[in-house]
Amino acid sequence: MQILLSLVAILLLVWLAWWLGFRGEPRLDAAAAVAEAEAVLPGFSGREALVASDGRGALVRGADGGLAVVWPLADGWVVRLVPPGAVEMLDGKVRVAVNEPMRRHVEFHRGGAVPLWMA
Amino acid sequence: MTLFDPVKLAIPAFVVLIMLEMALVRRRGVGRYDWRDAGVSLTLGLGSTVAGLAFGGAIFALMLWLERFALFDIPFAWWAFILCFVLDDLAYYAFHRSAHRVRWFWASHVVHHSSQHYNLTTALRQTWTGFFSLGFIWRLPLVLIGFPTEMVLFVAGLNLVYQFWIHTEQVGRMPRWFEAVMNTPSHHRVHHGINPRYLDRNYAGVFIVWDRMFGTFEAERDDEPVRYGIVKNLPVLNPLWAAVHEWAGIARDLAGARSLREVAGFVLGPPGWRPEGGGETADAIRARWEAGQSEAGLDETGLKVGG
Repeated sequence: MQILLSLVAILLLVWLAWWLGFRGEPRLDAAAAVAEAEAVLPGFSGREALVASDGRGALVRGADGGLAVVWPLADGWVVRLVPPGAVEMLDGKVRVAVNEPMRRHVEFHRGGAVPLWMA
Repeated sequence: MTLFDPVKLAIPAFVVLIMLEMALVRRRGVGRYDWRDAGVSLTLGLGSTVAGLAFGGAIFALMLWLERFALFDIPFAWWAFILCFVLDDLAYYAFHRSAHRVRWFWASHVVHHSSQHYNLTTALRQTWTGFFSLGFIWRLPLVLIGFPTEMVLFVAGLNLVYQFWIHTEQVGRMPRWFEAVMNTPSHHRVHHGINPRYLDRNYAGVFIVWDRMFGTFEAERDDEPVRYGIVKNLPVLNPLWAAVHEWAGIARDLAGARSLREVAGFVLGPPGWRPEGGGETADAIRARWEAGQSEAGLDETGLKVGG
């Protein structure tokens, strides 16, 4: 009975959060992508970013040439450092091999041409 | 003596307070909620309750068995409850510090830190594997001293209930005397931070004095907003993965271990430890940040050094 009541309470609270509008899907631009990577990766200094055409992801190049990928999770972001070999420039898309148990790849449509630093 | 379960009694209040907090976040624009994140946190909370029902009996039986080795026969007196509450909080500090510094304990505790949000649902984001990681051993000395098992479990419940309300961004700072002695939302926000300055600080449960005494206290700064979560945030919103991901990481590392030293490091070393060095441990991240501060001519407080 206690478990059943708890389940009802969970559903109620989740619905309330949704109903109150806590269901954001933020977008970012190059500056926000760099800031996100710098905030999460201590010592990482971002220089430029290749942002998804819909703003829902980015590849950030650091001052030392290192790369970080940023992808959306709920109303926030997840950031990972990735080796250059993990990034593929496909036809209109960027595909990054993250190689984690629950997330093998991150893929997004790129806004423009392949930047020189990724060519 | 049979005592009531403070956590069970507090659950309806938890639900009401979460609803109130959501309304305040909407109205004030301070703090964050996300329905998916809240769902994961609450599901983890429910799973933790189920795990508690499954394994709590074994812990209770172990504590009852240990009573026969107790040094003193402490009665159910008011002063004993107070003393037990304070010592239990000290035991909580020890447990909590180990839960951040030893990967075996962290594998269980990381669940509580795995949200990038900080609200009252985060308080309920609890482990399913606490029994397996043996986190309960820190409370056993209280029974060996002579506090009755029922009393220890009762004050542990009170401790847990106290810690619910500090998981919020709706409360700024409490009165100065209160901030000096008690754990508060401000102090605990720091504890949930991944900013290098805030990493592995403020382990207190109820009394922040333990952190002040043992050198692990860090005050929240208005010029450095807390970034919540873990150093390597989870890539998906999946309660099951949140519950077991660090155990899976330990298993993966152990499968590749080449010596007993590596086995010990992967299990008993700090989270992030790597055999070849250069792992992203909290100490390494903090040291790198402090070096960066020094290079920029700033001290730890962010002030310019040398005029």
